[in-house]
Amino acid sequence: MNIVKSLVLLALVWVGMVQAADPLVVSHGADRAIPIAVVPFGWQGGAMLPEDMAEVVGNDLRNSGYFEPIPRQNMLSMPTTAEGVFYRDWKALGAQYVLVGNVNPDGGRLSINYALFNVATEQQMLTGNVAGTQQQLRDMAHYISDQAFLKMTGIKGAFSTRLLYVTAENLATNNTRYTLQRADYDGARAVTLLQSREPILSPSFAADGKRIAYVSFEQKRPRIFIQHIDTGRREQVTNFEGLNGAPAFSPDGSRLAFVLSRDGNPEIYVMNLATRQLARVTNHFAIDTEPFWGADGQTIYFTSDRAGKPQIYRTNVNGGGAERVTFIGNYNANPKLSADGKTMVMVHRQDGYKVFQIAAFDLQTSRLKVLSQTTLDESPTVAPNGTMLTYATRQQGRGVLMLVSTNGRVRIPLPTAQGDVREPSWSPYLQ
Amino acid sequence: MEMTKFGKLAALGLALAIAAGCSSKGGDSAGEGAVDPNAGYGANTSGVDGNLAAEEAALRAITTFYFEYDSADLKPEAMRALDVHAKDLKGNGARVVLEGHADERGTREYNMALGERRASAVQRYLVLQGVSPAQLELVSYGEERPLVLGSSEESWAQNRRVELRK
Amino acid sequence: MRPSSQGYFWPVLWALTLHVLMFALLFVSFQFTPDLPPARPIVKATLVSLKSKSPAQVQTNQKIAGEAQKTAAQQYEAEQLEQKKADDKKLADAKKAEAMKKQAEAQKQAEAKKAEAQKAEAKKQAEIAKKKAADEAAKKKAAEDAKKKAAEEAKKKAAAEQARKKAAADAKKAAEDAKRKAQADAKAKALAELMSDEPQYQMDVGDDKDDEVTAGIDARIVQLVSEQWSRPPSARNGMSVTVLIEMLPSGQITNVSLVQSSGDAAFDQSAISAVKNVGRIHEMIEIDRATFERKYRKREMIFKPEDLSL
Repeated sequence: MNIVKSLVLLALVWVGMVQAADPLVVSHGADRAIPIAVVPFGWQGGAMLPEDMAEVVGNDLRNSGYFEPIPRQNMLSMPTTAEGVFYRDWKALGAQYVLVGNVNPDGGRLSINYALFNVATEQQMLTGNVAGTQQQLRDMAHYISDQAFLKMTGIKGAFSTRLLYVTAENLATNNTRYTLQRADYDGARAVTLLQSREPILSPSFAADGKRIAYVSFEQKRPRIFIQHIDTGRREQVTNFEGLNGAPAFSPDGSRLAFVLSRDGNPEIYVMNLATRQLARVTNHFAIDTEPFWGADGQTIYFTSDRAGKPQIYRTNVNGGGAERVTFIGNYNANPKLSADGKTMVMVHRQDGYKVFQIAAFDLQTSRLKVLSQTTLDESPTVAPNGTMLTYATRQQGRGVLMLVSTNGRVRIPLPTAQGDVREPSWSPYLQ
Repeated sequence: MEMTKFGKLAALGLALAIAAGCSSKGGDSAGEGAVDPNAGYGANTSGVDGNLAAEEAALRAITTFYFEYDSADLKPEAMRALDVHAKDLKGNGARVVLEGHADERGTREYNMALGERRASAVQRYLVLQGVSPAQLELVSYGEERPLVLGSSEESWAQNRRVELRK
Repeated sequence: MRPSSQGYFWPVLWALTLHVLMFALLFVSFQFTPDLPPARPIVKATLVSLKSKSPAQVQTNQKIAGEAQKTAAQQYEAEQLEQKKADDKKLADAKKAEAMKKQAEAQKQAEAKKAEAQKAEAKKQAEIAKKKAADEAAKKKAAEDAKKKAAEEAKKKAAAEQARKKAAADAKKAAEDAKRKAQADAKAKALAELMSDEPQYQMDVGDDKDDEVTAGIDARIVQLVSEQWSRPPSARNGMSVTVLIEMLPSGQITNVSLVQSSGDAAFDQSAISAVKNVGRIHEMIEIDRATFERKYRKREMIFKPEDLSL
């Protein structure tokens, strides 16, 4: 009879569970920034390190809009290894996660051990090591941020990516110095890739992250160039009468879309980079410009004023009809798609308004969300994981770059050099 | 060819229509680009009566032509100056560059296209006056070469322009 | 949400089917089913989750465990450990110290009893669970009903039906939803009688109160998880992911696993993290053990946003 009793019990427990299995339903989220303690990294060497690793990592995580680093002065202890982490200390501060790290000299190099903990579950989530030179400290910090971000959110981190942008510095009347810069995504470690007395515009990366395309007026006319970042080697791609503009690499990197006005008005063309064969994509007396490739390598999104005001359209790369995409707002231009193809960001002017802002547009639902709050916002560019975007705006008469999280929580100006800064363009994931 | 001819005629017709309707339109366009940098020139030239040579000289001195926001329509005072330039160009056969510009509002590449559209409007007008297209080269700088810095209606009005450069 | 006339038909049918199935199992399955101690599988899950914890965590646990009295039973140790942690927290919290202590002592006593006579305890627990399970099926919606009086009347009628087989005719006269409840109660009770040696009629009030408590706990869990939920940029209204939450009687969440993916890895992860980051549902101590086993030891949760802007 014992067996029978046990079985009945088991069965009832099971029945009870099934009956109680009305699932709980969560339909709202707070989308709050989750408190994380990024503890100052330990350093077992002599002179102070040139970078504050924990600060770089903390800023990365904050910039994503997902996390809020806890101020150092509030920390009850500053462990640098897993053994020193006592969950009670961090619970008291309301920290959800704790990240610790320790930097060790390793020959001429530096080796960093790091670990991530979930305070609520009292579990170590991640432990790892990364090594490099002193010049690579920021790279290592961004790497750690990427690893931690992936572990905590399930989203691949984009903190090791880069930005291209253009600066214009007015030296004297009719003497402006233009530069093309490449920096970390957060604006640090800018490097000049090109300098000119004539305008430079519309830089963008190829999907391999190694080539860039841009427009340069160095021949007093706009011409498109491709430059290999590592070698600095340049090639001129176009030399057509009229406009040569808005270059955009296809997702596979084999083709380049751009704008030519050689047939009388601006049209979108695609060039096969291997054969230099040119194919016209649009054919309309209006302005067609700012091509952006869909992830399928077949669809091209672009700006056109064929309906009177600039709006976003899409067409097949092999031609055919163009389909209008945006109907909300009296000015929509410069479309950029997120990597998952769900969201398009663009320059947007609301109906009845005269200010230009950055908006995100859902391509499925056609719902629109304004992401910026100033009046002359342009050139949006999205991080490859879609969590952050950068755009250009003006502050006190000067062009600056703003970094915002897609959820709108974070909005910070990027530290940039002298002069007007403009035309940011986000890299893909880099190796 | 027929089509382009028709297009040119249409452009001329449009330009004339705008010239005719300008005085009544003035009040309505106050919203965007209300400031008209060319207005001063117009007042001066019409004030001097009889001295044709002096008026021509004054018009010849005008080499920058201004536009309304997001528009490539020539203003009547610009057409008067361009008439004088057309006469000169037909006579001397010189080559000139028409530089199109836009104000800072809107996207850079769209403004590139807008600058070119403005330069094209000037080119079409000159060709209708008999200037050879071979004498005219177009280049658009979009918003990259502002004449005046600043984010005010005044600055923007002066930056929406086509410059005729010898 | 659901019209009450429909609300009882399927749960009752479901309960009926399962009970019949259970009954059939009594005669069939014991021949090939090994004799498992009832609570074992659940405890195993607890131990696995402890084992998987980090060195830092194990260290902390061992520190606490060193103070605890160890027993031979693994289950006891695991739950004792959990209890000790609760005690720790309690000491720090001056406000709740008294209440927590009582709670801890009560639980200690219960566990001591269990150690002394585990078989008897198991049997007792089983009977309580059995009764509650049977009544739960019938009474699930009763607490939500504002018209308790009507329900009571219906129950009486149900008893009458059982005795005289005239209830059907009487029930027809009653309001539509009252009739449904009556039938549900009658069938569930009949089944309960079949399954149990002593029929129980007096649990009604207690169960209603239980449901009120668990409704409050359910809302609290949803609230806590909502506060922790940060959605990825790919999230859209209408996406849906289902996760399974595993919990200890202390309210400590021990595991969260994916039941039905949304197809979007980042969205799935956001749901799992939201639950994990709650850590512990402190209000779970208000729940009696049988109810906990039935409703919260394992519980599914659906994440389906309705408040996103895109």
